[in-house]
Amino acid sequence: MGISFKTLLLLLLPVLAKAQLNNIDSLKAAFSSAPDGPMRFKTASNVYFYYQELNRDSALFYAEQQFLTAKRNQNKIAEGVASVNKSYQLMGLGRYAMALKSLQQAFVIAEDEQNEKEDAWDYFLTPYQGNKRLLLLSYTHHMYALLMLQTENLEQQIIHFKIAGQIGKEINYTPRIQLAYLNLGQSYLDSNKPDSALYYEKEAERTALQANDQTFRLAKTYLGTIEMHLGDIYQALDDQPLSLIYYYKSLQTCTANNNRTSLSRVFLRLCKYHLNKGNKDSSLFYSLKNLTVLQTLGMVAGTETNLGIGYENVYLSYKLNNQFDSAFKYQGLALITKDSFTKVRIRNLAEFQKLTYSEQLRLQNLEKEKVAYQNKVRTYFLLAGLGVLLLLATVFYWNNRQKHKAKIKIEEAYENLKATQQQLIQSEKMASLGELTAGIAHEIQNPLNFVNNFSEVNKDLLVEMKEEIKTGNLTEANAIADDIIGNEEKINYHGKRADAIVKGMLQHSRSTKGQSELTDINALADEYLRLAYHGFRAKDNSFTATTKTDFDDKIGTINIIPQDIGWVILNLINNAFYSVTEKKKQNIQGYEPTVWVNTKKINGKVEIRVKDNGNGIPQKLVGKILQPFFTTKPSGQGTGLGLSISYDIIKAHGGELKVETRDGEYAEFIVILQTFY
Amino acid sequence: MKVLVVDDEQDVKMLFEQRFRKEIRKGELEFIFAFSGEDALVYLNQHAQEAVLILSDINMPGMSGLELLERIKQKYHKPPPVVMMITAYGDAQNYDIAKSLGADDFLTKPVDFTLLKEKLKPNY
Repeated sequence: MGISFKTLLLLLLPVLAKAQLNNIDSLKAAFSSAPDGPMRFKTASNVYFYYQELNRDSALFYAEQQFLTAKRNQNKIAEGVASVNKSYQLMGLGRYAMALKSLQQAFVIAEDEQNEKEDAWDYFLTPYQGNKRLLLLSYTHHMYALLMLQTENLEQQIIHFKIAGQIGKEINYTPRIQLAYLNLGQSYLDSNKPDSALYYEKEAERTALQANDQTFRLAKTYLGTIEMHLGDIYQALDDQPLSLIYYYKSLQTCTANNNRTSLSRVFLRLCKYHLNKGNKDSSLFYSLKNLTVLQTLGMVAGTETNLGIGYENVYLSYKLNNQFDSAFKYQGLALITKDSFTKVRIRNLAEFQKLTYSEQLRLQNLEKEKVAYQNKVRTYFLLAGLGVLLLLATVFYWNNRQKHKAKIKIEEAYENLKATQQQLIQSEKMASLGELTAGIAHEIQNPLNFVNNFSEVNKDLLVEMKEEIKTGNLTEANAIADDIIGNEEKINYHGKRADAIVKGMLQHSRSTKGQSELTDINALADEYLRLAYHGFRAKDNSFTATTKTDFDDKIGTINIIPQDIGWVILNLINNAFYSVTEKKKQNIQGYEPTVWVNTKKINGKVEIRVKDNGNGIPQKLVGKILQPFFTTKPSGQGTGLGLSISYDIIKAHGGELKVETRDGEYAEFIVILQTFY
Repeated sequence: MKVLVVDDEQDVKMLFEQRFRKEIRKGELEFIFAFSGEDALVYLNQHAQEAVLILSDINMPGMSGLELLERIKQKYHKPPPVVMMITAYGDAQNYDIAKSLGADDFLTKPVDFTLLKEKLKPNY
């Protein structure tokens, strides 16, 4: 089947039958009086459907009204439908470029899923409740395929008819499937594949015949077209009788359903058939029928629905009938019309090609721009990524350097600190020695004063005694001798006193020589308690005090330098004995001097408590008791170093020395040692 | 002449009595001993009319020698008696304070009794 058989297919959804039922004047009146909005759109649609296959100019006008109404009211889907309707009429008028532009607008709307959200106006005479956007998309693809058909692009028309049919299947809307198959039949026939064409066309026929109440009228409208196509297909398959049967069926169906476009094409086919057969009357009859229909369709410039071809066939029919006047007349008309239509068609196709070419260019440019943009973006991202990496590297490097610097600084600071600490310890020792020197200067001068002066006095006394002996005054000499003995005792006493002070000083300033070892703290405390008691008894045989101990067996052994801690315990016990002895001198009724020594393990630490019920420490003096040379004892009885040294020793053991006291009632010294230090 | 010796060391009494045994025997000097600043003030209050030379240690428990000096010179006795302070060797701080408080003379420990006798001589 040649190109000349190609024709506009009227494959839209409108139900002409319904439109026929209405008087066109009342439809137009309804449109004129309809308020803006869905009603105006619907009434415009009714008029459009009436004209759709009857008159292209009128149909285009009402499609434009649909379009304007939808756009004004921002109903996107309806706007898309109106664009497709416009496109159909434009391509029917041969204005392919305009038709393509309209379709492009429709595609933009149909492909945007955002448009599913809105409440789309019903744009078909049969209400549809499914996905209206997809229905529009199917409709748009179908129309695009038709445009491809008009502009003789076989490949593209098959692709888009198939897409339209596929979407129709997905949304289960049979008229779309039927129309897609109808056109696919023709497309395959044009591709010289009559078997495939027959398959699709038969499917289309079957679908149309099975139409339900809702789709019946629509199916009927295009059933005539299907039958005409089947006629074409059987023609290609060389089955002339079956072909004719379908042409006649189509003639009836198209007439019944007022599908004039298809009707003209059936007339054209029958005319050609009879011309070929040399049937004079029949060919003239159909050629004139064809011309009449074409004339009512309005301005047409399609490949088949073409007034020029109509005139040509009338001319050929008159010629066959030997009516040369008429033949001549129509020959002239055919030449003029065909020539003008050909010019228009060439112009339209050129315009279309220019558009598609510029569209292609535009798309190419767009693609180029897109690629360039993507490259640009990619480059920027790469640069940005590199920049970030470089920045990160710099930051890490800098950070690392800073850390390294900081590390060096910290190490330096640590070394400095260690050196400073050692210096501090040294200067503390020196300061301590200085303090000791001053303290010793004070403390040692009193006993030295006596030692020196009593020894000098004794020298004088001895001289005197010798004189008395010379004179024979033995009584006097004896008295002097007694004085000398008394003085010697004083010398000895004060000499020892000085010795004690010096020893205390040495003890205070000495570096620890003892080694730490695991020590039974209970045994140590007990030992020093007895030492202290007997020491006191030796000095003062009137001394008595009750001692009470409470040792915690759970302590076991702890790691300490035993002689140091022993010294501390001795000092504390000595102080306690001294305190209770002093209080006893006050002759308080019922006072019983008591000293307690307790040990206890608490939270991994060991507490040694030495408590006495002596006079306690006045609150204002509590802060001073750890100072070197501070003592509450009368001159000669204390060096004031005991607690100071004790504190140093305990500190060196990582422990604590605390005191609890109430003036006149008690004093309790608490040594807290860690089990390990 | 009466000399009031103020010192917390009990042995001072014995030392002075032996050192000045001749002067005491001759009745040239009479020593009174106070073993604290407080005791010294009690004595001075009780014997307000007597001319006394006071010889005081500084480092004493309770009222210190400096405190005693201050009281004697500023509050109690008019005309104030001569006060001689005994300071430890090299104790410049106490020396300066005592001087500012009106101490008349100074001795350093250990006490040089020969020097002390020379100082006392013009007074009897």
